[in-house]
Amino acid sequence: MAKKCRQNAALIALTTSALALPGINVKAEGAPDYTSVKYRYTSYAEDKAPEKYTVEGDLERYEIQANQIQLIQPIGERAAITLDYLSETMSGASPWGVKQGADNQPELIMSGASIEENRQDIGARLKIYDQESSISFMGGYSRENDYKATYGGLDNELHFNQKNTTVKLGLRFSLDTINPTQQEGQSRVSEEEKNSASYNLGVTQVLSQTAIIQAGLEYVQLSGYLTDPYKLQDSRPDVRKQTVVSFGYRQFIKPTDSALHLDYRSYTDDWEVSSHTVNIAWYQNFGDRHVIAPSIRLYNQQKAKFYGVYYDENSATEYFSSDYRLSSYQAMSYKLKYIKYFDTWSFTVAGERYESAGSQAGGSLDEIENPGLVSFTRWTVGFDIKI
Amino acid sequence: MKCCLDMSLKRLSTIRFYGLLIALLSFSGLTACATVEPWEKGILAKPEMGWTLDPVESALESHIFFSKEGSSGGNISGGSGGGCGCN
Repeated sequence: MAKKCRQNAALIALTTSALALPGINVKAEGAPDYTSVKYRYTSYAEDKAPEKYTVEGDLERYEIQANQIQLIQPIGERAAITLDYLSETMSGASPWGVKQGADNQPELIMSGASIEENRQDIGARLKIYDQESSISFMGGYSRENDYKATYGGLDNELHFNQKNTTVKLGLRFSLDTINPTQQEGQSRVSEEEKNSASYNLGVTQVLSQTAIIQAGLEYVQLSGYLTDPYKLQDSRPDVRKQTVVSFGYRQFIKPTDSALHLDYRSYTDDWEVSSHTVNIAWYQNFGDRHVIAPSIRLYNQQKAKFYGVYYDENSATEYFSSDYRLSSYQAMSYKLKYIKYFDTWSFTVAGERYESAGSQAGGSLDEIENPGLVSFTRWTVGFDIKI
Repeated sequence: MKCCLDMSLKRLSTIRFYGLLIALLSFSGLTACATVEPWEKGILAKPEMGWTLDPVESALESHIFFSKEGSSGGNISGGSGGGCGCN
């Protein structure tokens, strides 16, 4: 009898501690019982614009230094508030457009290197936990010299089947105002508005003691001024309807003490942009609470219906953009992340290299590689503290 | 010919979309029989089994992809916040 009681007590203690660990939806039935602070510093630098194709402006592209801090504070036993603050400084040149050169070669027009901006973003989330569900309310404000965004949302998680199945419903909105920096010799709008609303549904299912899967469906509607005010001859529809289907899978491998992450996203919109994204990561535990995680991300995109590598006055249409982001291209990024856990804090460093290239199939004008396509290197370093 | 090809591609895209939607909606029903008891979820509770191991870094990473690529979304576990992403 005493032995059985001790077994039950051990079982309850084990279950309680498992449920208290942060990380996944299925066991997040209780609010965190400690305060935590996370800090990240990120340095982001784009490769130089290609000298061969650049005919105007500066070759030195964007650099960003970002500081992020997050505070998670329990409120009572069934709620927690998360505060996020981001400050980033951006500088460098940006592609303005592409024009037709000799022999149909694209010629890239860059801005000067005078762009210098600071963005600050503050957000808050209140999450309230119940036995079989949770609800989160969030809101935030982002401000830079030419753009302001007020955003918010609501998430509702419902647990079923002894918390082996979780259904998540989410709503998001953002009300944005654009005040482009004016440039002598260019005609730019003075103030425009852009709004977005998104609705998402996610289902998470525990498959076994070592495997879990997630599927998601998201619909986003953007409306208002969707043209990029800094691009030359850029004119886009004032509505964009986006649909995203995503899948995620996590598998723990006991013999090697590691975890495999597989993620896939399919994107389509009514501008006829479509893309497939695959992310594969491997989290390897080793030594005294060290983790190393290499990952690879593959991205393949099909162009918008009004994209052209350069503007042709003879076949002008209502909508047009030579923005490289709306072209057909492929990108691959490699990332390596390292984490060291101590008793009350952890340290992390991550490096990522992202390279993109045009899709060359066909050979029509639209399939000429946009010389504005970006490649970049990112470094992030930071720490988490439990208080 | 091109018109027919475009229509076929659109139809294929629509079929693919609804196929994925049906798969998503039937997902929980088909797999609901899998029951792992609470005390068997120790491995699932490990940080490296989470959807996002580092939500702070992921938020900025999502914002970079949002700013530099033509598509976005699908991050069920979090968002990318505000910002223009124009340059």
